[in-house]
Amino acid sequence: MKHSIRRILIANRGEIALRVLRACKEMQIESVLVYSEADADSLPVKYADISVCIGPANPSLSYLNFSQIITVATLMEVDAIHPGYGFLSENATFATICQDYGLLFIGPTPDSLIHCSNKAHVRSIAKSAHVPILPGTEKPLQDIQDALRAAESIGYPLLLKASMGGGGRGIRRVDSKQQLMDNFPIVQRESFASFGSDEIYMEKLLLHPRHIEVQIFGDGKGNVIHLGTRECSIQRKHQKIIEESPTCGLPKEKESLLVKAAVCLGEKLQYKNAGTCEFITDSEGNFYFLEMNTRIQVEHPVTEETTGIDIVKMQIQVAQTDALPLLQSEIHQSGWAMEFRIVAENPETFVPCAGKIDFVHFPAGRGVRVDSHVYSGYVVPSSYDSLLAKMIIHGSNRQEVLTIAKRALQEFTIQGVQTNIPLLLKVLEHPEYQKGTINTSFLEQHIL
Amino acid sequence: MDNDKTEAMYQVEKLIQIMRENSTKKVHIETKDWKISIEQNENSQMEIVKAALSSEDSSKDNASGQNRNDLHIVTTPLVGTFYRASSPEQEPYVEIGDVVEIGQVLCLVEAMKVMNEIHSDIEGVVTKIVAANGDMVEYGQPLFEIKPQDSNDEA
Repeated sequence: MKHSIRRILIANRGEIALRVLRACKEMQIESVLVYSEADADSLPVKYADISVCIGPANPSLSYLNFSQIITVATLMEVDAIHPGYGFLSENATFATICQDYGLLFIGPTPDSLIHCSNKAHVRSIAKSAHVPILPGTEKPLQDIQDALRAAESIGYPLLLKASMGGGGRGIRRVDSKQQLMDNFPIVQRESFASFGSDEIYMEKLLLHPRHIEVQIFGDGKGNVIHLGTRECSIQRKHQKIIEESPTCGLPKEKESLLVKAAVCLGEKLQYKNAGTCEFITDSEGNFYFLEMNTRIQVEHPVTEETTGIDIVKMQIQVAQTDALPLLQSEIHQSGWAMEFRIVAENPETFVPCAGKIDFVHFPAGRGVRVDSHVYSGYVVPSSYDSLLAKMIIHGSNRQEVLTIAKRALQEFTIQGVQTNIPLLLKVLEHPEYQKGTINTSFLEQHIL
Repeated sequence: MDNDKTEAMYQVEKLIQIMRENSTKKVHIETKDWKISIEQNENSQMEIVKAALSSEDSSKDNASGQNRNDLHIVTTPLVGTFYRASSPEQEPYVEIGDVVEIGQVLCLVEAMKVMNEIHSDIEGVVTKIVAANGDMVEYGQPLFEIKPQDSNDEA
């Protein structure tokens, strides 16, 4: 079925709101931006065709406020809503309400969102699609006796995880029977407090894995294509800070098995629109499915640079046509790309900092792209995440990207707030990073 | 307001009469609403040398600016469509010049087919209706200007 999209409401803020806005402008689609009082002076508010203030800084009263967002969408007669990442992007209830109001939700179907939000559930779907998963429990843990029995067969160390968890919360490492008994009720409580459900499951802990993911696109009818791999192993407390595409951590034949597994899972889920299958790999190149991210990712630009595909535009096209605009054979990756997340934080304590940016100068030159919503004089609000900019470098190979990245980071100037640029440079200059021998513990092992 | 002035004039006339009867040359009176100074001039005529509303600065400068600052602005707490009446056939909830109480319904803002009543959070006189009936209003947008009851005006 063909849907006509003349006007899109963007239900997000910051750099991703700007990213979607730019895609809309290039597609001659009108944009309606909803924003909170704290973002009144932001670039997306200035650039959107129509901007409507929907509430105070507190996200639950503005960017998470269904009724206000749907009201604006209805009054402004938009055809579709792009949720960006975070906020309402993976909210099945919101996607359902959009449907009820005749608004196209640019993302997966509500059913997919529900299936994928329960990590224990999507693990079992992966298993049925013959996608490798880590040893763990297939069903939610009933009680501590159930957990102890399962731990006996899986073996320590292991992870206790909230089924509805995300963003690195609701996860605890357990090394012994005693620790399991101590931590089981705590994870249950944390899980309930953070995600409204005390359902937890158990998974074997893989020590020092690499984090590798696959960008997929589906048409909702079982046809799925992939846009290659991304490596996101450079993390601090489960927050990615440097990503690259393709991965440098797998031999070619393993990499093609990995993307095949991702496509298989997407087909099994009858997945629609853009999604990301996350895997972890061990030092032998064995890979295990971790979870499915049902939204556009922060790190999508590294895939855009190596494939030449505008992922946001493709999201809009898929929503418009219920079909994939490209065949797998038409997608080619070339060269190498890396993304560096520039965040406002204290370099010693890593505490995010807000405040006025007195002066900012973005690097430029060959191979450099900067996606950012900040400008000289912009005040970083304290109410939201601390991402200031994404610097994306594209070159013909990894070595060239490293060279361009170093000089570009040195050009990057932000005055007024502290940033993680010195930390990023340290990673970049580390010989192990340059060789590509990295894993998710890299920062703790080599830098911090 | 005119009635109030007449009342004040009546009281001033009465005051002058008392001054004449008692051969008083000079008097200054302040009430909670107004203040006045009356003196007998060389021609034995009573003259009002100074008269002002109690709330106003005696210099009387910037009187209108002062009033503007006293105005209370009622803003919308939500996005939606602004309606002045409960239905198109009904009279508007309030008109300019109406005295409103705290909690009184001023208008409706419709969001997702729910009519949200917007209440006055102050007692006073509606001096301006900022939004037009049927307008889409965004969060924090002014709807009404209300002159608080205790800030004067009955003099």
